[in-house]
Amino acid sequence: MRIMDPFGLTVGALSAVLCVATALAQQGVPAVPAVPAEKTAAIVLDPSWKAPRTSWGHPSLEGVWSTDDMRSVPYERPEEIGERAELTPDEFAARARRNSEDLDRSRNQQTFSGRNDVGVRTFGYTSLVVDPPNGRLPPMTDAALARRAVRDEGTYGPGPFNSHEDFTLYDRCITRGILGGALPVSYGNGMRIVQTPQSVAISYEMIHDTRIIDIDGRPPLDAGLRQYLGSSRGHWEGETLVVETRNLTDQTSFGRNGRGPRHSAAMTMTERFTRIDPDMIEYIITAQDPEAYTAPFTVRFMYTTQPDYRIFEYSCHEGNTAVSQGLSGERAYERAVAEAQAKGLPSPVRIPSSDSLAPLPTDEDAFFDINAGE
Amino acid sequence: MKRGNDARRSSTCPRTAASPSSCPKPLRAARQAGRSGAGADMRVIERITRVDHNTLEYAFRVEDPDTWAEPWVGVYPLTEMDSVLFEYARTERNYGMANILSGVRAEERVHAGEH
Repeated sequence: MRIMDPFGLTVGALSAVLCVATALAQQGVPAVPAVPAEKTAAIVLDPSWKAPRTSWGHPSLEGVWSTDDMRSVPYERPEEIGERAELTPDEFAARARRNSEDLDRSRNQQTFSGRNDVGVRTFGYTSLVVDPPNGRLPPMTDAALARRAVRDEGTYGPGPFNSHEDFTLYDRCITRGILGGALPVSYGNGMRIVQTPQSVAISYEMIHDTRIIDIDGRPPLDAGLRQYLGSSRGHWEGETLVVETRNLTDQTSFGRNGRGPRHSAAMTMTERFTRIDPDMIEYIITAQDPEAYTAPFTVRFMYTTQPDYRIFEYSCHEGNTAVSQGLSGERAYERAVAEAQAKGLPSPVRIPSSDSLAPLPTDEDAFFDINAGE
Repeated sequence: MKRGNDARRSSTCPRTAASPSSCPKPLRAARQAGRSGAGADMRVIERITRVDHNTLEYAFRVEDPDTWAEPWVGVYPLTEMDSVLFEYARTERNYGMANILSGVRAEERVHAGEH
């Protein structure tokens, strides 16, 4: 999370940081970049560029990173773009202009959540999914679709909410899964990477999951031992950290914040982390799960540095009124229906939570807002 | 989850520490305020020292004039395990809170029935 006070000064009064933050706040409308950020990476400008090294010689991925810069790239490619993986110059100029306006609004106008979680770079990719070539996730199998449940969408879906288990693992402050932990969302896209000669640790600010990836050659856990984040084993292939993961559960999903229809416990994934610039890590994840997806698929995005970005404690449970309000709202709706029936009146219309941000009906007696709680 | 303000209840009373050999007594003011944890201005200094190939000495000093009349310290060893850590499915199996709340509600119903 990038934290700034109303005067644009960074929390924590290091004078050097203060100067940077003040300069940012005085920038006004940020400049619109002319070139997609991926074409400015050090490795692109100089193919002999090498990542900085740890003291024991591994390429260094260490630092605080975020996926805020990827927020303007669609997860799946709009169908009309077909197999074109990069924006046209006109499309890029439009995205860059929008990003610049968003950044200006974020820095100089907004006070709402997300104010300081807007990226500072514009990438030219047409989607985060890069394989299949149409940039769209392959269809799920009938078996996976048959498992769909209210809990797959939780507060993003229509309910009904009869138990805490009708909410996503994210709603419940448990995990967003491996991909969900990194996919860009509207806030909280930060993570910290720390390396040792034997392991690489990735801590995600949101939900504060920490993955420990062993890179010392030990075998994976016994197949009977299942974890939300599986069993990850990594090794260095030249400049790239390659991580193989298995032993997953069938309880996580590949949508943003880890929502959506769940994959199967047979899923395996290969992730590739390559530092391509002092300020960019290219992240490529390939997943295969013949039980849940009709084909393997690959998602690519960048972890980048952001000015004044730090990782803080994430108070998920303390601020988690969504689950209790979803449940109490559902109970209140049931009572409203019972009261209406007792009076011989028609039942109030139940507004699903997924529609709660849509314009509401004007006749206030005609609907019941499931998100209003009690 | 153990957090800073649980320190008094969750730690065993320091024995190998430099000074106190019994539990530090909280100030009467803190007790009267119904506060069982530490104050917001508590300062904790931890010293982690590798004293052996597979032993860390973990020492801590707690300074919190709102809660304790004087600073107190504790120390214990952390021993390296030939083992691995696993995911801890805490929320999924956390029946403690729900059972306590429903137990109190049940108790309330019993008492209500007495009147």
